[in-house]
Amino acid sequence: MPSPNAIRAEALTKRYGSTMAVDGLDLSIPSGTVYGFLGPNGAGKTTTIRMLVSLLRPTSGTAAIDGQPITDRDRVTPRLGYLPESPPLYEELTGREQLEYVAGLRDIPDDHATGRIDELLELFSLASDANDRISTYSKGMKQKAGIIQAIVHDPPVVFLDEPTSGLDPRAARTVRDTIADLAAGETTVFLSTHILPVVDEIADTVGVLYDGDLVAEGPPENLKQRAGSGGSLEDAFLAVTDADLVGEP
Amino acid sequence: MSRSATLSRSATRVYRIARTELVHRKRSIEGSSQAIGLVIAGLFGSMIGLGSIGGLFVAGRSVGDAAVLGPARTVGAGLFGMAAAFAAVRVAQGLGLPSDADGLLTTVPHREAVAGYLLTESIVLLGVPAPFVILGAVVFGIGAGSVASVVLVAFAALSLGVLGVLCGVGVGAVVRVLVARSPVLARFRAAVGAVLMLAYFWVLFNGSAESVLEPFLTVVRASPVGWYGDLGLLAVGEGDLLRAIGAVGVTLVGIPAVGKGCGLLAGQLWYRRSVAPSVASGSSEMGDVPIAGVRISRPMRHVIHKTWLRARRAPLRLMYIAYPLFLLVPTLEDVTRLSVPAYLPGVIAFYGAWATGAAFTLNPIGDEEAVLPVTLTSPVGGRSVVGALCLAGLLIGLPATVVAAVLTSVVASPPLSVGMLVGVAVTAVVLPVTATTIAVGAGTAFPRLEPASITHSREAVVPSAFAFALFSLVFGLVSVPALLAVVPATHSAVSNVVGVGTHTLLVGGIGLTAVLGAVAGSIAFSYAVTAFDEYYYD
Ligand SMILES: Nc1ncnc2c1ncn2[C@@H]1O[C@H](COP(=O)(O)OP(=O)(O)OP(=O)(O)O)[C@@H](O)[C@H]1O
Ligand SMILES: [Mg+2]
Repeated sequence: MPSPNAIRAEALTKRYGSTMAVDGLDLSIPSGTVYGFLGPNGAGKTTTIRMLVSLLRPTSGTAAIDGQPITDRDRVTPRLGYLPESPPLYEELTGREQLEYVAGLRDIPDDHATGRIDELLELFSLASDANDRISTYSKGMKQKAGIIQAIVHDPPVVFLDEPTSGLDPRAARTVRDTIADLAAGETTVFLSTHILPVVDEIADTVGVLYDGDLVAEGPPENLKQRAGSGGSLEDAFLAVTDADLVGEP
Repeated sequence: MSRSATLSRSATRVYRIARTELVHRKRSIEGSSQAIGLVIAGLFGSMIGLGSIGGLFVAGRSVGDAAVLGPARTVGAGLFGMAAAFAAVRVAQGLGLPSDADGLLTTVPHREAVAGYLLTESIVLLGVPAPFVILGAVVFGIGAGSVASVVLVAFAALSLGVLGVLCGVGVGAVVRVLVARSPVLARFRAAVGAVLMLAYFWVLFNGSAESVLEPFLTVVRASPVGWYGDLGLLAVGEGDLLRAIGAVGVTLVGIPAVGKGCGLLAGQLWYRRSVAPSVASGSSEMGDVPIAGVRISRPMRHVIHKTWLRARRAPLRLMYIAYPLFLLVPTLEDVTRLSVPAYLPGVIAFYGAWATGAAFTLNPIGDEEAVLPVTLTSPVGGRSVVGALCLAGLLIGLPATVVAAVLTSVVASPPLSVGMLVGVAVTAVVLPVTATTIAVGAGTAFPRLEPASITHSREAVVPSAFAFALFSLVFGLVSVPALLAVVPATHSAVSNVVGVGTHTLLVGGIGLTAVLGAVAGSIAFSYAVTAFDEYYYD
């Protein structure tokens, strides 16, 4: 039974010493939607994602992925795919070996995995480099391998931390299309990025984090309207993350 | 701007580069097992240094009574040779001279960067010996009753050290450039290194060290390097004046010239990128072998396969497991005479097990490097990951240990009894299992987490010193009963004291180790599983 909300968070808080990285975040993100997570550097986006994928323990508050509490890693992890900020790859393996390894960790039968990996390598134009060692990959190639790795097992919820970083325009386009396809097929995508046009194009909902607080949330159109007629998402972003207007100390 | 001002600014930058580089190197070895090795090497070196100072005093006293010029030239050649050898090995290994200096080269001129690295390397290699050298010069001066000698000896020795380091850096850089240019050399680098190391030991313990070093020393002594001997002894009326002047000339002109040569070689390294090995050696195909009739799960098979592939492609990561072999060096003398001492089978069972545990299981969390978030967020549990790592070690280490221990038992002299032979074989099975399970516990208790960026630049991630210590200690204690039983000398000693028969002692000793190992191993293993399952980044 699919739960109505793929991602739910209530008063999710993370404090590092005296730094409040995430401050009482509430989220409810329906299944099959794309959530664009924006915010200036150091706003707490990566921290939020790491809490949601059960790698970080919240200081307080609760959250659930597909109805499973994030405190129970065994129940959360089968439901998610995750692309960390820096692509998690073994330099010594080839791209294909890395992907087969991750598929194997998730107990996907080898022949099924091979087909799926070939398809994704082709989609991301990485097929010709698949048998080279990852240590020889360029930044963008590593990023592509990381993205494939996050979705190879068709998880219901995907967390992507700056997926388009380092990608060429065509690859960035592929990522956008892939995310759109995933969402069309009931996958929920939680996407942190600084590339506003990506969010504008594919996000159903945008949340703007500022200094650990969710300062704005809604469909991209609504946010743009708030910035005034003819405003862009960039204007809206700049307005809600302006220190003077937000009134942070 | 005046020329001297430019020069002094340039010198300041070189000094800053060296200082930053030294701080960086200090931080990168702090708290690592390397640091402990360095302390031990330092103590050892200090002892040699103090001994040499004593020797210099004696040499000073004997000036005039005995011929000191010949020995002085030889000592100079040795000093030069040692500095050069250390520098060459370090640079050839990729230490000392980075293969990528983009950040620095876009900030300062090439020659300043080179000078900075050469200065760093000189300080690293000569910083500790230098005070001993100066003290030695003073002592020599006192012995010979000549103040001028103090200055001359110190100048000669330090010049030789710096010249040696620079020549060594040059040789090391040539090796690096060759390896970078030649795909064949690059591929067999590890093999070439192993052959050289074996040759080194063979020379060292075959008593042929002198015969190999002699021609080298003769050549170096006859070269301008030998002139420093004349320079050092000039004030006591021993050296040849022309040669002494020549030595000063070498310091003033030769050292900058060699430095210039190092700069050219560094350019070959920095501006012409080598092709990284992109071919994937080793099969990607995974076997599906049931172990003891039990089929292991797919995730575990993948973890085992990945562990082997990574080790195979980056064998230098596992260099550290060979270090204890140095302790076996005294045995080599026997072995080269084709006689295997009777204690060797037991020692091999112990070392094989230790190496099996240390290879893949001594840093389970840190070895995941950047992939750790993926491993943790995949449904595979700690029991599977930790179990698979133990299996990855055991599947190779256990058979290898058993084969090596049994083979040496068969050829040992005096020959082992059948009972002892069986005892060795059983020990060689029990110890590796014990070692891997204890190792995962020690490795998760004291993980070594290194940002991936460090591993790429300078050194492979080595398990933490605490993990090494805890593992070696617990495993060592657990092994004691079995080792006492299977090493003939201790076996007879114990059986005399306790008054039990051979077989009782074997069963008792190995049995006790097995029980202790099972207890320690299962505690350590379940600790590791829990640690892995409950690993959080906060
Ligand atoms: N391990 C840590 N220890 C202490 N403070 C931390 C730690 N990790 C993150 N922080 C702090 O938490 C805050 C949020 O960091 P986070 O990485 O979540 O930001 P971000 O929104 O992802 O930024 P960016 O856009 O630059 O990736 C920052 O102030 C950061 O300094
Ligand atoms: Mg971030």
